[in-house]
Amino acid sequence: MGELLTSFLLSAADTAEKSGNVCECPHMAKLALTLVPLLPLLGFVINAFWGKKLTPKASGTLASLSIGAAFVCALIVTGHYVWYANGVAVESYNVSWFTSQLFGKEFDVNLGLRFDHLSVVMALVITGVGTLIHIYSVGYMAHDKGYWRYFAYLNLFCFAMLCLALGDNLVLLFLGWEGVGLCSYLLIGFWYEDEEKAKAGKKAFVVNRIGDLGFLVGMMLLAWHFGTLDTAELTKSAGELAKNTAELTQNQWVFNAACISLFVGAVGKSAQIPLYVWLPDAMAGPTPVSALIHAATMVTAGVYMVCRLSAVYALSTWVLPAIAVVGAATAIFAASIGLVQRDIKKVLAYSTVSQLGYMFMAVGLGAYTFAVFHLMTHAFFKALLFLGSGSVIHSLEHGYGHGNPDSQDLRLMGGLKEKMPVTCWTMVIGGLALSGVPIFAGFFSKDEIILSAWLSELGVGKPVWILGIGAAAMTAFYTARLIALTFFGKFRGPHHVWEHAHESPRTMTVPLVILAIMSVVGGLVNIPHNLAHGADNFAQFLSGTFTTPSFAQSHGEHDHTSAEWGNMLFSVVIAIGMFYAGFKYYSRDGALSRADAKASAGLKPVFTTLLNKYYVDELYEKVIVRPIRIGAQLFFVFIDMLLIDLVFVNGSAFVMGALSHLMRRVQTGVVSFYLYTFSIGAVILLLVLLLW
Amino acid sequence: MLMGKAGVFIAERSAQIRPFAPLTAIGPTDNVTPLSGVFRAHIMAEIFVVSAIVSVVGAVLMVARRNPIYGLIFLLVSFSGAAGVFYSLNATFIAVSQILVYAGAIAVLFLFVLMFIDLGKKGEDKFPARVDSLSTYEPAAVEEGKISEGPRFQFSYPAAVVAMTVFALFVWVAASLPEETFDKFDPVPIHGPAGPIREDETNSKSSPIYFGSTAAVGRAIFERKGPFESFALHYEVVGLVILVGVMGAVILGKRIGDEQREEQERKLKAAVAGADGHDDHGHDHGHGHH
Amino acid sequence: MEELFTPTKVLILSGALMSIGVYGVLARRNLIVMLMSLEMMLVAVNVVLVLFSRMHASEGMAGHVSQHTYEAAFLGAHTGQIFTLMIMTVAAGEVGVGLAILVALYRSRNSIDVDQARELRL
Repeated sequence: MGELLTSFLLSAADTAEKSGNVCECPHMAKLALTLVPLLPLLGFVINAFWGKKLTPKASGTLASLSIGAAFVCALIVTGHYVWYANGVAVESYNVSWFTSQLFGKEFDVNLGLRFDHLSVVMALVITGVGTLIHIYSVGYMAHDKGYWRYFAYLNLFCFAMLCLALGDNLVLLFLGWEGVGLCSYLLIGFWYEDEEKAKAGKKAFVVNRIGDLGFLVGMMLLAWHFGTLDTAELTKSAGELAKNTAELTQNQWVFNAACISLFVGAVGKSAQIPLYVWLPDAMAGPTPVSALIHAATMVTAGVYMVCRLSAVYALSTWVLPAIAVVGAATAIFAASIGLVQRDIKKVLAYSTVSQLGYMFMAVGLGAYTFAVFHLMTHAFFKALLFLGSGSVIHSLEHGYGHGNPDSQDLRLMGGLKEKMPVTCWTMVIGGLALSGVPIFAGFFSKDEIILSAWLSELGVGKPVWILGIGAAAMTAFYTARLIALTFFGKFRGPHHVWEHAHESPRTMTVPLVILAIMSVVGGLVNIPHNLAHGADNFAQFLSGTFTTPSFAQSHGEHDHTSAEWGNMLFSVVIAIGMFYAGFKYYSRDGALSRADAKASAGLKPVFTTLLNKYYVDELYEKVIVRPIRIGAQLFFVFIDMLLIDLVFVNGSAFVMGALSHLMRRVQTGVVSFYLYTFSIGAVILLLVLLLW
Repeated sequence: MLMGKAGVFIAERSAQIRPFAPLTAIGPTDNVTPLSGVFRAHIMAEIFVVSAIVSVVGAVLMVARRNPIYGLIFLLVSFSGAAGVFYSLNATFIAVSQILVYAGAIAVLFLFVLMFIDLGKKGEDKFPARVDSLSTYEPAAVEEGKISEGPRFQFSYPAAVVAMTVFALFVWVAASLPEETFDKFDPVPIHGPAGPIREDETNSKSSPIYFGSTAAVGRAIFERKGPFESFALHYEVVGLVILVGVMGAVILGKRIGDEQREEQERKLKAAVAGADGHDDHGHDHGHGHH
Repeated sequence: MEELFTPTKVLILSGALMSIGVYGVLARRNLIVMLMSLEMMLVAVNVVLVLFSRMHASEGMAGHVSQHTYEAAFLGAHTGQIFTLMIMTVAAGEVGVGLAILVALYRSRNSIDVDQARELRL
């Protein structure tokens, strides 16, 4: 086996040398990079075709091993990249996918992977957090009948997500984009026997389609203008174009249109206003899925895509400020809804939407590094929070029974600290990280984003800063509320549920602990330089990757130390204060009912509006869904039933039937009749030929 | 007429005539003094006329005779006539093949089958011609002897009409062909710009070949000829076709014993019953919380 | 008699053989005779092919300058004869299968009258 591998590697090296490949990457790194997405695919294939014959444990172990091995491969590539590659991107073996002509130019699309600074973060987050969540799922899904289906989908998701993150061109990225959308749909509707859950999956799929249309349009515009969809080539030609002012102004509309179209795709995938509505409903899926797909990885794909195309976005004029505004609005909008939600997962879902808003805020301000930084820390602490909530739900479900929505209701929790200490304290860490309390990861990333807003030279900078600070305050408040209602105070549910509640098995708590550690130390990779001078390693690591837009380029020239200190103190005070207030208020007994009573007295309109999520779903239902439904009904009756079914399908069948009824009279079975018709027919044919 | 002209030439050149090859050669060759073009054209014309008459008369009698044995004999006569026509058109090899394949193999095959099946005492076709072919036909009437054996030859007018239409089409097309006789086409030169074409083109000592001879047809099949592809592959494929035909004939002609047939039917029934009885239970893919 | 030996006359001979074959197939109900008539039609086709091969040899071979093109034309003129050979081969196979069907038919219904076999209908 080993010999085989060695000989394979040697022969691969030979062929590469002969073909004059200039990339100096060793084939070990190339092979490892190729294996990163392929290993989860292998796991998917095995689980999909033979998973039914495996035991739940074997199936889960297989899936976890495949993604774990992918993590190891990603580590190998990262090691090579960081220490040996000198900033030259590692490229995998490249095969031509298809070649065509586009507007008179050669248009080649390859199946190839590229591993650069941005990919380091994405690949490690996807495979690392993915591995932890796979392991967690082994415990969480142990009693489910569809374990093999679950793990197959999960592995397929990882494959698609890695294609998205590592693909060297937009077509492959789009393949992954659609792939993660598909897996998201499959996993949200995992318990498809429950119609509500199946509908939630459908909703996610349909809403994402709207965004995907934008993505496609953007992609086509780029292909039309640049003649390529390779991200490196796009970056290069966009960089050259940025110097050519005449051509830039002449074609300004193309870049604006392409960027805004691509951003529409990102809005759909990353759940921003106005297409965020699918994400809260997506909580119908199993909780680890919410952690992996709807918190840590897939929903950040939009952020990743904009970061990847930062060079193209630098060519646009008003798109980036618009993104910042959309992000800030989403952040505060979702955070305000999160304040009053009663479902533990819904709170976290709105929190995710809100945090994604932060990332887009950073992207729009040109602070790509901090967007990616926040993406990473958010992946840690939000996955941790989701997994923790899953642990709580898993524990309560022993009393309520599987699938009972009561097991997710914050009003029926409380005091679970005694029953499940590991879950409690890890979630507290996650909550503190989310709130932006110092030392924890979220503090560093969120603080940097808010600071970027303050320092931004854009007109929208200050309003965005205000929205960001407001959202941060709300975030700290609802996080504290969530934790207090879940783990502190007295248990408010039925007695037998309390009896059955217990700490989760080791497979679930170990990932929680690891993620908690990451949530603490994850932020330390980028200590801002007012705290430790020259220590913002992460930002420096990523800085070369992105093309900073013109309005954000003067950042480094001034000394902003005082602004940094001021900003930091302000946000820390707000975070700690709001967290403390929320915690104090909600950890007392009967806090929830008192809060409800108080809200119903004075703030009732506001409270009900928040509770009903600003009636956005109802609005969409009335304005968009219902007209489309009516139109579809009309089409169904007139086009489908009348035209296609009756006229085309049944009509053609009827005509054919009538004709064959006539024709069957010819089939007399008398040979002489056949002979005569045949010869007369031949004679007529010859006559026609001769006379023609 | 034939004897008059030919007799003189034969008397003059009898020593130099080789039975077949020289007839196809016009002009001087290496080792044979050929007949003159005029004489050759005459003798070919005589051969053609005689063969054509033999062929047509044989064919008519083949169709007309009610006894298939006689029909077969006249078929042989007609084939021989056709072979003569081929010969008169310089296709020596085809003429010989016609005799070998049709007269030799196919006719004998017909004869075997005729012997094999019993067509009654007199061996006669007891069914009258299809005089009114489109009307219904009652086999029972023949069985009961209601339809007599009838005259030796019975004419079918509808068939004749169709056949005459076909003939008319041929005449029509024929009218468009050049009216020159084949001696106007002649001579078929066997001398190219650099001498005759030989059996082996690399060897100038090998003997020259004539149009339609075995060597020429062989080279034409297996060699690439300028714009024409070689026919070797086609030839192989035709071999496969006839192999399949032989296999089909064997399968069709195999007599199945009663025991074997019963077993086959039993197996078939069992298979049908099995297919009906097999109930495909859907597997439960259901999941989820209760 | 030379005036009878023209392409037109040969084609008329072929037409005569063909129409006799057509008549035999249409008029007779004895399967053996029908098969024989079929062979007659094939021979008629062969006559036409050999005729055209011969015409080709006469007309296409004048005025060649190079021996090579001359030789190509000479050998190419045999194409009709080669087709004839192939038709003969296929005809042999066809007769084999046809006679096997005939034997099978005779076995199953003790008759080779094609008008009696009329089950093949809707």
